[in-house]
Amino acid sequence: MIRVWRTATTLATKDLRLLMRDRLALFFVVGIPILYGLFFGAISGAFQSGDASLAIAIVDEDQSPWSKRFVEILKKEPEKNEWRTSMTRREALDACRRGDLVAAIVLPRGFGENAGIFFQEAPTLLVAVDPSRNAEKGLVTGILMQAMGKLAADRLRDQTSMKQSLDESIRRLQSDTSMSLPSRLALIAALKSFRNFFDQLQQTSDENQTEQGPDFEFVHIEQLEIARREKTDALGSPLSNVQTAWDISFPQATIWGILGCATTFAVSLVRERRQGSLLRLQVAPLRPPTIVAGKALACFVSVVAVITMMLVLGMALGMRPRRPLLLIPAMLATAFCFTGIMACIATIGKSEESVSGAAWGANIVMAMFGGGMIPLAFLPSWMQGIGYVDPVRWAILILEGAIWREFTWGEAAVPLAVLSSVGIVALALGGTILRRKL
Amino acid sequence: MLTVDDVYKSYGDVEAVRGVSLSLAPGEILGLLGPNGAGKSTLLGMISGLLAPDRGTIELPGAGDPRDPQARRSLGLAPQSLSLYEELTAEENLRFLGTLYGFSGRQLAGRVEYCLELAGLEARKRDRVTTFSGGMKRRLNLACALIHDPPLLLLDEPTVGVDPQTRAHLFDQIERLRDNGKGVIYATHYMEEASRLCRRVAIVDHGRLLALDRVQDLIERYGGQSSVRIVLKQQPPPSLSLPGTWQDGIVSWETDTPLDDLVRLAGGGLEWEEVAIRGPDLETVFLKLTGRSLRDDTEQPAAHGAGG
Repeated sequence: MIRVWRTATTLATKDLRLLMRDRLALFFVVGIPILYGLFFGAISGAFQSGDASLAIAIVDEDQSPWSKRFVEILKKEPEKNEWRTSMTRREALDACRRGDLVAAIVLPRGFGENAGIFFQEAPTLLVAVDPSRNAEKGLVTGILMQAMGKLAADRLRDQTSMKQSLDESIRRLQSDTSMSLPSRLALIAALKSFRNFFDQLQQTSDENQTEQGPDFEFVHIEQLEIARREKTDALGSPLSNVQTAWDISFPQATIWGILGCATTFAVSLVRERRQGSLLRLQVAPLRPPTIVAGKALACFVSVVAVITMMLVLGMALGMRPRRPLLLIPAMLATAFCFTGIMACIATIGKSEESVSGAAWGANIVMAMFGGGMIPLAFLPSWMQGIGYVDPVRWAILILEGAIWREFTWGEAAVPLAVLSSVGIVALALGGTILRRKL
Repeated sequence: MLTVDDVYKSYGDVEAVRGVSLSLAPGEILGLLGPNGAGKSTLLGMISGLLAPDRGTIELPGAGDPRDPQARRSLGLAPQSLSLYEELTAEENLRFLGTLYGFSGRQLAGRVEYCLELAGLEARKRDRVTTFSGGMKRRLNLACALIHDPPLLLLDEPTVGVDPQTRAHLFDQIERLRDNGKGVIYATHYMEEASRLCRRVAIVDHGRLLALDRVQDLIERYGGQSSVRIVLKQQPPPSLSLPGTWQDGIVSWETDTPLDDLVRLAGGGLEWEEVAIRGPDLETVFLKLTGRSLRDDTEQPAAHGAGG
């Protein structure tokens, strides 16, 4: 057994040395996952911190105090959006058509008259959205509704203006013969009671020597924390840190590193066959399982190294694993699983091209259904169902479990068991096929 | 030392090796001659344990069946295609293989040094193989087969694509190994190599062992007569009887006594511009036995002699 281990170590050392000298392979194993992690980390970080900006034009054709107020509110919501306010309607629409702007918002004449007054007829807003940016359409609508809510609040606070508006409405109702008398009387009564409410409000404000009106918001949304926090220490343990974008992107990036690693080693077996060096191994006093073990060990060590490297990089960028101890079995089970898959893929083809093609084909499918390419949440439910038999899904889950999901050992048991089982089955299958081929 | 007893190997309907038997003594170089597809590689594959014979037995020197990994310690293989890790240095290649054979420490260092010296690569030992010339790679390929000091060496076309200098170097080293008691099976289709290096030669074609004997005995038995060809200066005297055919000023014939024939013709007044005498050699032996030239990659009609 010791001899087998020593031989496997010798074979693995040779493979690792060859990997270190093959710059292209090294780039696929090390460079690609880093780039992937940084890229997706930057994207999700931007969304998380609100860095994602939208270029929107606002054309104020009304130029009333309340339309100007509305523009001011919009420009603050959210501040990182790029608001362009000096365009004409034509210029704004052209820019939108050219794709320079996500949307153009036009405040037509008369917008400020009723804007923010809930008992008047709703003001009209004209909105044009770049058809290719449909995803942002909802975002623009949300921003507008939020701004309108704030405008309504400002209106309520401006009691003088509100009372003038109520007086004007009452006067118009009194002279409006198109409405039935009972309806008119009921509406006039309602508006007068509002008028009295604002008189009393004014009186209260004067007594309290404050000019502020009622302050309110439509709904107050608070974020619920799903991560466990019971184990924070007095100094504010790093484990209690709020998750960063890297927490999310690095497990996915690590998966790409693992897949690259597995593919590199799957191809290396065929390469040995092509360059004739496999012949020397076959003629040496080695049993075929020892040759397989050597390859598998090299793959395993590389996968563990890639995961470690990604973790170190992630931590340098602010990622803080909440279950550091769980990372150890997570790394080992993941490495074992993909080492087994490598052994299987290595037996599929006879040329480097066929093995490489098969490996990357399998990788892409696994990454697709397992959430390595697109987060699982964005996939249709049937695709998510397939993910349950995809090792990539379980690998991401266990890595996330250690990094930010705060898995208990019980919760970690399932993904660990799945990964280990897949590894055992795949390694046995690949080893058997390889033994026959050798 | 090595015994191969009545081995057969088929791939589907194709019989690659049919009832081959041979043996090898220590300090002997046995040439294995045969064209491409003759069954040489299959035979070497079985001797090296890569292939299992369908029938028959193979015994490695003091070790038994080559399918047993431990038995394979007694053989070293230098395949026709280079079997090297090109991104490793010469020293790393040898160290890696030496470690696989269980060497370590000083013993390993000693074997590596010996092999580098044998290959003439001491000065380049820390250079990657990818930077080597074809000849250097060939020498290292041979050295790799020797790292574990095996008593039996299987050399499959070890001089393919090398320059004359490297070929001479390889010959010297192979003779040195023979002198040290190594048994060598030398597969080639170069007659001159087999003639120079091998005490005995086995001629293989279509999976069959057609002949196995000392080179001189093979020539005597199968080589036939010398062929003589002369280009005449003028028409031969009418009274002179020519030993062969005469066409377009050229006379050619086969004889056991070429010099006697020439003396007789000169005495009869025949004058010639050019004379060529070709004695029987392995090439003619091979032609006689197989009906085709050894270096023909494709089947060709027999020039003369028996069919293979």
